[in-house]
Amino acid sequence: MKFIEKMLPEESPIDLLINLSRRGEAVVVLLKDAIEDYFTGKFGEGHLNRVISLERESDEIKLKLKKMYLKMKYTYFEKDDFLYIVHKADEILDLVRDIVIMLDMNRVEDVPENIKELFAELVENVLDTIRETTEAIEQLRTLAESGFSPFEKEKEEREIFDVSMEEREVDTISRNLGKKLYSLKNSMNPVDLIFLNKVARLISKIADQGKDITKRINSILR
Amino acid sequence: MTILIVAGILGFIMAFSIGANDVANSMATAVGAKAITVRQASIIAMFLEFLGAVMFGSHVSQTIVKGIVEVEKVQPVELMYGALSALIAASLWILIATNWGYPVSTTHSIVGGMIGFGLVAVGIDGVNWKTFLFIVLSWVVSPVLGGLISFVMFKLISLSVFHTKNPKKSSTVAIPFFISLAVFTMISLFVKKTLKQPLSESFLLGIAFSLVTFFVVHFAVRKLINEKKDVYEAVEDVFKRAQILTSCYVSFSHGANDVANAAGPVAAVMIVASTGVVPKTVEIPFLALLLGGIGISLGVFFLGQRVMETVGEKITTLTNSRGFTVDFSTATTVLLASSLGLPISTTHVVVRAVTGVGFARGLEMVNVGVLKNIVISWLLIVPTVAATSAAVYWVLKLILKF
Repeated sequence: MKFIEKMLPEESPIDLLINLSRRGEAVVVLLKDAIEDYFTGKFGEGHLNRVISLERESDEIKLKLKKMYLKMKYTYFEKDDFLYIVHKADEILDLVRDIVIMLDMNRVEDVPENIKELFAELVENVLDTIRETTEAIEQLRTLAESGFSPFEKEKEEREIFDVSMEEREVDTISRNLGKKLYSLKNSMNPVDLIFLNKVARLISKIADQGKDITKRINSILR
Repeated sequence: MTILIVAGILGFIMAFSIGANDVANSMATAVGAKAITVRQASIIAMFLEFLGAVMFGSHVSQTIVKGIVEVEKVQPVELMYGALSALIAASLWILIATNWGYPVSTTHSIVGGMIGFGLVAVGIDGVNWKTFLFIVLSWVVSPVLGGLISFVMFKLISLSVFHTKNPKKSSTVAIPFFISLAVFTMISLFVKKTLKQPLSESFLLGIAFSLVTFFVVHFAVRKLINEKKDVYEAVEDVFKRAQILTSCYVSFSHGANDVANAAGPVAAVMIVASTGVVPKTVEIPFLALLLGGIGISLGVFFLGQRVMETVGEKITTLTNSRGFTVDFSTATTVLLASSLGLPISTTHVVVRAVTGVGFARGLEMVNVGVLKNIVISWLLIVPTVAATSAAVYWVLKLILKF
């Protein structure tokens, strides 16, 4: 009789979610390289292909999780909460894909050094936010397995706090970058200026996904 | 003598099949949660299934021999061939179902087989409908009880270990408590039901053994708990070791209940073949239990390991505290049923125990659609085996003219 094996999912949904968020982290690392290479003129199709491949894998994971939640009951988390986190984790990959496609469309030359540095700083901080988000997602497993024990809840709250701090930092850098870009309105091509500002905004939007994920985790804790 | 050999062979095949297929379900949680390896699981199962069978197996076997069919209304020789027909029909259908990949219970099959022969031998009055109804009720009640125990137990573990200020310290009391509770249940039921001693003595002995167990486990847990720094990992690690003990508990209980599916009909044949009558109080021959116990153990050794591996590999989402809960609830329910002489399906209890933990939000997710399959399986197998057993009995009667 093979009832038991049919009762439990073959793959752990939290493991799949963790895999998804790790792919999100990996794609932001790729974005960091892409931005560096963009400003040094080394950006190419390879960047785009690697991002798209990760994005496809994440879509498969997302689909698998959706199917699982349709079929099974008595889950650790409410379906809406879990699938929201899945959606947001997947959104990170979608955003990076959009950014890389944009970078592939338009080449901006003679970008001032301070702008390049701010972009590098922005991506670095976004990466830190996503890393913290992944840690918060990983902590979800221990939290659920411990039956939402107060001890593990405290750990999760610390992770959430770290993400919000990082995301605040990203916002500040993004605002500074915007100001610096618009201060160049008289010397820079306006199309390039708007283009770079849009890229910067999209990059900071990645950190927003992390913040949204942890916000939902916070509501699960309440 | 020939019939005795045929019954012995069929009983052995039935026991072997229980060891090969059913044991995997009761040990799968421990293997899946990586508390024990497949090899360890099979060694535990081989010894403890055997021990459960010979120490506790007589109660359920008595129900199979005398409880289902109104033995006063049949001739001893009819009971002998009837038990053989039930064994042939049940073995046949288990073989067919296993070949087709359909999940059927050996318990339900053998009960169906006995009913089929009773109906042909005597008619509608040939079946003890009251006992049968009681057995059917136990098929509903036992999984529900298993689910309820696992729900309550998971909540208790959650509150008494994970939700305390110091989960490490709390586990040094909670885990020994649950294990000593298992020891209390095993010892007191064994003293009361098998050794037939008064209730007070069984309670006293149960308490004495459980107190010793509590302190031994308590000191062992105290030593283990500080091996890992992370609180959650340390507690789960202790549950992992504790699951070795609950696996023994599950094996013992499974052997106690399921050996009857093989030993019951063999015992009926043995009793009639050696005495020529059906005594008022049926004493199950030790040889029948021994045969069943050995059959189960060999089934585990030769085929059960592979099934355990397959099932265990697919239930990796079970943590040790959950596995511990499922094992404890299953074993307690099955052992209680065994002491009441009720033939129940261990697998169904395990399934419900898993659902119970899931209902307490202790599992990542549970596929409750399986529960529907369980109901369908026993609604189908009982009448099917009953009809086959009736046909076999009718043919035997026609040929042997008894």
